[in-house]
Amino acid sequence: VGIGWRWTESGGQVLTRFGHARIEHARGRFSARLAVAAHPRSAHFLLSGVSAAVLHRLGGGILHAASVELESAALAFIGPSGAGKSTACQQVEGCPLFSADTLAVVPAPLAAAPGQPPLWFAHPLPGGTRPVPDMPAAASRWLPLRGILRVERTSEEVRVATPSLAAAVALARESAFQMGVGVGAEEELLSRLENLARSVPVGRLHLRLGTSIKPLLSRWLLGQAPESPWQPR
Amino acid sequence: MATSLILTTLDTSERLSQNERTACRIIDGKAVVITIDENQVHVLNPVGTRVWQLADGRSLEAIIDQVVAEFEVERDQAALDVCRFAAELVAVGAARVSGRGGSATVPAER
Repeated sequence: VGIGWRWTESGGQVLTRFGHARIEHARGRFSARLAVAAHPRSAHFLLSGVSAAVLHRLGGGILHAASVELESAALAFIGPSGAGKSTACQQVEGCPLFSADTLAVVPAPLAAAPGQPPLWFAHPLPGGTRPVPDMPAAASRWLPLRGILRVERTSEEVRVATPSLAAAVALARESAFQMGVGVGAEEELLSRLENLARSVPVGRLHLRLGTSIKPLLSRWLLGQAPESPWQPR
Repeated sequence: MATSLILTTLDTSERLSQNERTACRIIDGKAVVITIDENQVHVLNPVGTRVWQLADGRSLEAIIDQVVAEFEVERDQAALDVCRFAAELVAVGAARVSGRGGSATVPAER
């Protein structure tokens, strides 16, 4: 199903096969008027488009990601279907599932410490199937996005490798929803993903089935924490 | 490791251009290139990024000259590597060549 949207000075417009929406953004609030066809999934498609347009306006986007809540933050697993995203979620022992399939991500510049890149926050989005029905679910809310891991299966040692920033952006792009069209939309998405990768650690998780990865991920995240340029007197 | 020889028949007089249907962002000296129609993402190393930046319709000969001027590399090696890399860019749809002159065959290992 094609979903298109664009922002102009007068507001946002979203168009799908089954309806359209106009979005206004004033005084920090978004409001939308929707017109949908009498189709069972028309509202879902249109609301997905509205979500994407609003997230874009806020400098964020949508990742195809399964995620868990770890230490009051979201830890996202990305990769193509079958890569092991849901399996990775299950192997972070004791952590509830945060998103089954899609994750909204937005920067929050004012939430960062002085001199630090903006924090990014994540929120689960509806859609997709729930592949791990026996996992406890985290409450649906905004959480700081602590890390993004591209899952790759291995039969050898479980480990996390940290790619170059350019490679991190490429990994994020592979799992990002692109709803704009053309070269300009792609370059804008790359710009956003660079902002994301400069703020949120991105790693390659070499995942072996059946091995708990929680201690490994906690150590990796600890090593990725930025040092504040402000030192106490 | 098994290797196979592929033949790139790019002549150094041919002109190399970025495909218009690509998006690119240079990040810490490395280009992230997306081929829109193939929806593929490529990350280039610093030398590949420089070749990519130089692919503005100038000849491969001119690109090789520039690479030799900017990097510590013998010209023969630079010619081999640039032609091989240009052929790969063309193969993945990121670039195109035009203005083919006579053909020279450059063996490349893959």
